[in-house]
Amino acid sequence: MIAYNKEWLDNQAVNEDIDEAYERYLINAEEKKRANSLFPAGFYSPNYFIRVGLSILTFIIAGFSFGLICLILMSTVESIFSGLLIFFGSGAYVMLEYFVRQKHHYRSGVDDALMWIAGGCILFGIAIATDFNFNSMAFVVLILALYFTVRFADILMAGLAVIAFVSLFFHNYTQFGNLAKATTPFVMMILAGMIYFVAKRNEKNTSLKHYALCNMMVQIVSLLLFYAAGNYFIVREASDAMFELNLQPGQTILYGWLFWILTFLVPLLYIGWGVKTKDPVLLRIGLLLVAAIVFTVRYYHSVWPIESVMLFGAIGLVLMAYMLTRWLSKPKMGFTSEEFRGKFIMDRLNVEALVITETFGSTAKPDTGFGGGSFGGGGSSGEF
Amino acid sequence: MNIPLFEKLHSSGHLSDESLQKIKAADNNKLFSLHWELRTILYLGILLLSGGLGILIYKNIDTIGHQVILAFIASVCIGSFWYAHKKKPVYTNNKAVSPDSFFDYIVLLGCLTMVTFIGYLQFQYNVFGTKYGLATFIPMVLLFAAAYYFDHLGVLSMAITTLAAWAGFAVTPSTILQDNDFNSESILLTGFLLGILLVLAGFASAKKKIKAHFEFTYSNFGAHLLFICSLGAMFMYERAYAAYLLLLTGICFFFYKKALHDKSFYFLLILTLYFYIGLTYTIIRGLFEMSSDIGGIYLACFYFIFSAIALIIFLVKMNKKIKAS
Repeated sequence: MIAYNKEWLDNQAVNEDIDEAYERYLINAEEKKRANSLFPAGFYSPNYFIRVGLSILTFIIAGFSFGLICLILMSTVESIFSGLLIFFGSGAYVMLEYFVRQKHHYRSGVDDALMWIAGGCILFGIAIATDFNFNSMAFVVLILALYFTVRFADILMAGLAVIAFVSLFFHNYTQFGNLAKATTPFVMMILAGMIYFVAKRNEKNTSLKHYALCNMMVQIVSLLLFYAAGNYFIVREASDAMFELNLQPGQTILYGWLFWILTFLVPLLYIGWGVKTKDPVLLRIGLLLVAAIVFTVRYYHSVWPIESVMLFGAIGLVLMAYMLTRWLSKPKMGFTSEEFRGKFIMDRLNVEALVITETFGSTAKPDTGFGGGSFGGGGSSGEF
Repeated sequence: MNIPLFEKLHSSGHLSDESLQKIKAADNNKLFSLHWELRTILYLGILLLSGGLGILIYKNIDTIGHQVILAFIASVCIGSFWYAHKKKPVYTNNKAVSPDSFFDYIVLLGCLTMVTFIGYLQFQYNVFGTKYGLATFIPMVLLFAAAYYFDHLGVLSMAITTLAAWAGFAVTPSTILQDNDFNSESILLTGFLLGILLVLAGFASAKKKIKAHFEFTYSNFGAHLLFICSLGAMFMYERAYAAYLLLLTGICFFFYKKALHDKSFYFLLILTLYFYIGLTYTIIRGLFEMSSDIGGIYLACFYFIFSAIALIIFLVKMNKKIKAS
């Protein structure tokens, strides 16, 4: 089962609760420090930025080691390439186990990178051996992702496992003839819904507590898949491509109206249910999918010119945000527009500022009348 | 909140009565914060608004007339600034707490329309004539003023990109590598000077405690500019690349000291990566100048493997050092 020291994982979770209480000004710094020291966790988990650096460097080491092996075996490498990949992937996996078990790495960047290298090499090796057959590839992805999820509680692997499972099911179900093809969207919705409810039911299951974040990822992916299975755009284009319907623009599919209803209804249901049960996953996915409604409608019906849609959408969004912020400035029905961890959001504001520069920055470009950006460089430099 | 945990901590004497009361109160009165959801919606709204206005003007320029458009932009701009001015907290040299998310984005909208207004004036009526620099200089000054007056990090970033644009440099994250021609001496020199200026500005903000929380934004732009320009110079001056490696090392050393001082993992990461790029370029070039046969490739592989291991050890050590300090 899970490769990490369970007691440490529990302690780590406790420490996060303590930190949260501190960041919400419920306990003071000294209490936090004392409480944290009661729950030691010996993991090596460096800062997030160091983690990024370590994973980049691990990828470099693995890549050039593989290159070196290929160089040494130069003449024979083609005939044994798939075996070599599987061998190399297994080696990466052994390293991963070593770093996790002996060096106690936990989300250190090294373990993340080694996990993806091991998985990727083994998958690619098997894919070459089986001539890139879809079923065998999806099956290998499913097995590997499930294994890494169980063993290392990795969040992305959990999401990947769901995607692999659903696409494997989809690929084989649609082979069963016309009745199967016609019912595909509904079957996929049922499947995604079942995955969601299994995950949701086990959210508070204490025997799965180390997999809480994996569980959340499974919920996110299954909610997205549930919507995708009923979205008009996806159903129309997918059935057009796969079942060779040769739909003309303006032509619709069987039960098209039903999918239009689903396209609109599902996100609103997510939002409504998310608000009712105070479920952040449902609420945020629902809000995200409102954009999907807009894009789906725009794709088939351009009754309004784009700028009107943008302007009215913008005014609607700003007004909605304004009213909600106003209304919730005093908490209502358990909701608030305030940020709890006020003092600790500097990082997020910096990220936000960067997003603002990236998306609005180009408006600030000068209209110099000269080509290129080299204008004024030498001249103005004297003024500094 | 994990109530059993805090009760246990309380009964073993690690938590005061008062803190336990606060935790229980917070748990009873469980609130769901929509803060970042609302902020994202506002962001999208403002993004759509400025984009939609742009398209609207572009499509209807023949029928509406320039004065009408200008008046409209100006009224949005003045309206936003008027609202922001009414709601704004009292000016302080420290970080001012913004009244709410809506305020932040109205300030942003005001600044965006202000930049558009001036750009439009120049484009249509050529008010600044051939003094093209002025058409960027004025928005830049106004943006800096707004950033300090309303205490807004996003506007400060816009001001810095405008400053860079005025000096002839594109510095938004996606354009800094694409839109600049690093094969020109003047642009490299501008980049260096701009980088130094920004780092100094950051240094001054922190030292003089005038909006000390702006320091990161200044230093971040400055650091990337300095690093990218020294790499650019290294790639451009074929003969003297080793000399620019020295310059890069010097800049890295400066930011290394700074990262240790500020306990910044972020600066530590970027200086390591930039230095690694520069060092790798130098060594790989050196290797291929010395030998062009297969031996060079072998050596290059070994170089990558061992240098990356060395850097991993370095990062691990530094992580420990910063955490311990």
